Formats: sequence, structure tokens, C-alpha cells
Amino acid sequence: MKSRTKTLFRGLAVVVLTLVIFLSLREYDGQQEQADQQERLYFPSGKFLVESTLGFREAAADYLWFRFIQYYGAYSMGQNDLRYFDLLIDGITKLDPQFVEAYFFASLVRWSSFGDIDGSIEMLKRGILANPDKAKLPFQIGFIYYVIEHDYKRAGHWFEMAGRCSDATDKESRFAAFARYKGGDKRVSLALWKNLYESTDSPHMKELALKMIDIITGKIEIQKIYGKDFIGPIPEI
Amino acid sequence: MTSNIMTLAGSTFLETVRDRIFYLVALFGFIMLASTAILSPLTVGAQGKIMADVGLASMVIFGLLVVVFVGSSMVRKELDKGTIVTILSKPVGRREYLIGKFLGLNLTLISMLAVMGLLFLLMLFLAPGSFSLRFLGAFYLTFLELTLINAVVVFFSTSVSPVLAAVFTLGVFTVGHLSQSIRDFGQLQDGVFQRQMSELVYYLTPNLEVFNLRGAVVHGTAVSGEHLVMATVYSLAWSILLLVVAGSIFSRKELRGE
Repeated sequence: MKSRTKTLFRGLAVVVLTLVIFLSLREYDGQQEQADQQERLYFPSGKFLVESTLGFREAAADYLWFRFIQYYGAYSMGQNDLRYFDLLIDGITKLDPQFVEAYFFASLVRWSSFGDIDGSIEMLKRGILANPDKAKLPFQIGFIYYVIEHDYKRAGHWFEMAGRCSDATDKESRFAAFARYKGGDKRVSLALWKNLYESTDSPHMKELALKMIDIITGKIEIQKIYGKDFIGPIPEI
Repeated sequence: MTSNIMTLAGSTFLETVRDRIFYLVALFGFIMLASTAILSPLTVGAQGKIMADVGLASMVIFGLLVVVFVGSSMVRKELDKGTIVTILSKPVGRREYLIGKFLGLNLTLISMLAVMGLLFLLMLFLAPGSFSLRFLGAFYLTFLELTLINAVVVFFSTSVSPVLAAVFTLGVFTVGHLSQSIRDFGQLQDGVFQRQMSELVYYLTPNLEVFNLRGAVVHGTAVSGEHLVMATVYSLAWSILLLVVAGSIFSRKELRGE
């Protein structure tokens, strides 16, 4: 009987202690929300942040990246604002200036959540300074000018820059040629299509380039004969 | 002499294996798996980079743990058990003993890094577009860094207690990664004394950033042959220097029962 009571008492103690642990953790989670924000408020920046990682800079940048993704996820669900956005992104890019995805994603957030196109482009330019050979960043600037600003000349310039990067594919040159054409630089566009025709290995791309070369050559020829202001043949009535 | 050193190195290696050091390798495998499977939804386009960063950093951390905790108590354990007296009563010099211990722990390191490296490459192979043999350069630099740290721990283990040896070695690891910044900071000071002191600290502590090209390798830059040669020379020079000094200290040490 005595041992039975002891067992019962032990079992009860385990249940009570488990409950205490669970409730403490719940309480801690509640406090953590506020602590999380304070933690970000006192988040070190600059050289100290880099030095404090003792050579594990990239792994620390990855950790901050996870925090950033969670932070943005919470914003998407309406749980917080984005007041620490710059702080986190600065930290990530200081720790790992070659983290291309961080610049890219931050630029997307600047554009889509803040509506800050200039800030978005600035973020990408910062990335280009640290990663001059990555096509993804200048391509994205070109894309912003093309799709949002409709500034085809600038878009063409950035697409061309992306096309000169070592990891560039046909995509960058194709966009550059299209943007130049849309921006009215037909001769430059023609040169870019010819260049693409010669450099590409893709039969599909060769076919597209040839088609565009024919169209643009035809337009240039017509302009030569009828002048720059020619808008096309008068339709028959 | 060489056969004595090799025998000691072999027995040190077997001792560490018996200490179940390789459980850490299993933990490394688990971390690699976790960084692939569990964390992948959070990587947002950077899965390969994050896997590589986590893997390379874990290799350094686990290697450091093994070197510090096994190395710091290596000599003391034999002193306490009295086996060191038995060994040294045979035609084995004290310097040979230290070199044997150093090489034995390095053999453990090589085995650990080889297994972890294979696991690492296997995991990268499974993530599209991440696998590359340029990581071999980063593995080699990690080995050189840990070799140097191994010499540091052997040096301290001959003169202070295991706890202090571990603390001092971790201190050297910390300062080794900060020495460049200490010098840069010193150069910003007005006083000549501060500038010279920071310069002195820079040259008196091993600069472990020489071996830290992990970031560059992850981002696609291969380690140049020139850098590998320089890092090898640097690590060897420091290791030999520390072992020579440790040998001198250990030769003068009074051992119980001798």
C-alpha cells in the first residue's frame, strides 16, 4: 500500500512538473515576441558584427537570413511591420557581401512591400558592387526599368551589362535586344540580335534571332527610303 | 626514432577511436541532413550556399572540439595513469613522445575530415548545382588550421592543466581570427606604443584567417595553388615552432616516478 502511494505520488509529481514546464514555456514564448524586437533593436552593425563571428561569417549570415525570412513571413501574416528590415539586410550583406539572393530578395521586398523602386534599384546596385560578375542583379535592374518604369533604354543598358557577366545565358542578351528595339535603338538591337545569332547554341534561339534580324532589317530599309517619320503603308480603302 | 614516433601516433589514434570520437562524425551527418531537409523551406533560393556554409563551418567546429578536448588532456591522462613513465623508460625521447601524440591526433583529424568531407560532398551532390571539387581546397585549409591548433594545444598541455590548456587554446583560436582587426585597430591609434603593440600581437599570434577561404569557395572561387602552398608553409612553420618550444618545456618537466 505504501509503495502504491509512493508510485502514485511520483506519477502525480511527473504530471505536475510537465505542466509547469509547459506553462513556463508558454509564458516564455509570450515574452519572447517583445524580446525578439528588442534583440533586433540592439543588433550590432558594421565591423563589430563581422568580427564577433570569429571567422564563421557566412554561417552567421545564413542564420540571419533564416531570421529575416521568418521576420518577413510574420509581416506577410500581419504579425509585425518591417521596421527592422534594413538592419537585418545590412547585417546579412555585411557578413556575406557575396550573398546574391539576399540583395535580390531585399530588392523585391523594397519594390513590392514598400513601393520603393529607387530603394530597390539601390539595393541591387549595392549587390553589383560586391558581385560584379553575377548576371542576376543587373538583369533584375533591367527588369524593373522594363516592366515598372517602361524606360526601355535604361533597361537595355542593364540587360546588356548582365549579358557581359560570366554566368550570363542567352536570356540576358535576348532581353537586351528586345529592350533596345522597344526603346527605338533599332541599329543597336539589330547588332545584338546578330551577335546572339552567332553566339547561341540553341536552335530555337537562332530561329528567333533570325526572325528578329529580318523584321528589324526590313524596318531600317523602309526608314531609309521613306524617312524617319514614316509610319507604315496607307491602308487601302 | 621514426618507428617510435609512428608507434606512438598509431596508439594515440586508436585511443581516440576508443574514446568514441567518431560519434561526432555521425552528429555532423545529422546536421548536414537537417540543413538539407528541415531548413530547405527557409533557404529561399540559397539552399546550396547554406548547406555548404553549414557543412564547412561544422567541420571546423567539430575538428576544433576534438583537438581541444582530446589534445588538452592527452598528456595529463598519461601522467595521472603513470603510463608516461613506462613509455619514457623505453628508448623513447620526450620530444619523440610529443611528436607522436601530435601526429596521432592529426591522424584522427585526417580520418574525421575525410569522412565528414565525403558526407558533405554526397549531400551537395543531392542538391542540384551545388556539387564541386573546389571544396577540396577548403577541406585542406581546414585541416591546416586544425593542425596548427593541434600544435597549440600540445604546447599548452605540456605546461598547464587540461582545463587551462583548453581555455588558452580556444583563446588562441579567437585571437587568431581577430589578429588582423587588432592590427588594423592599432594602426588607427595616435600613440606609437599602441601601434607597435598591435603589430606585435599580430606577429606573435597565428593569423587563422589565412585558412578561412570558406566564403570564397562557397561562392564559386577555387583556392589558388599559390595560396595553398603559402598556407601549408605557414601552418607547418607555426606547428614546428610550437612543438620545438613544447619539447623544450617538456624535457625539463619533472615526472612522477621517473
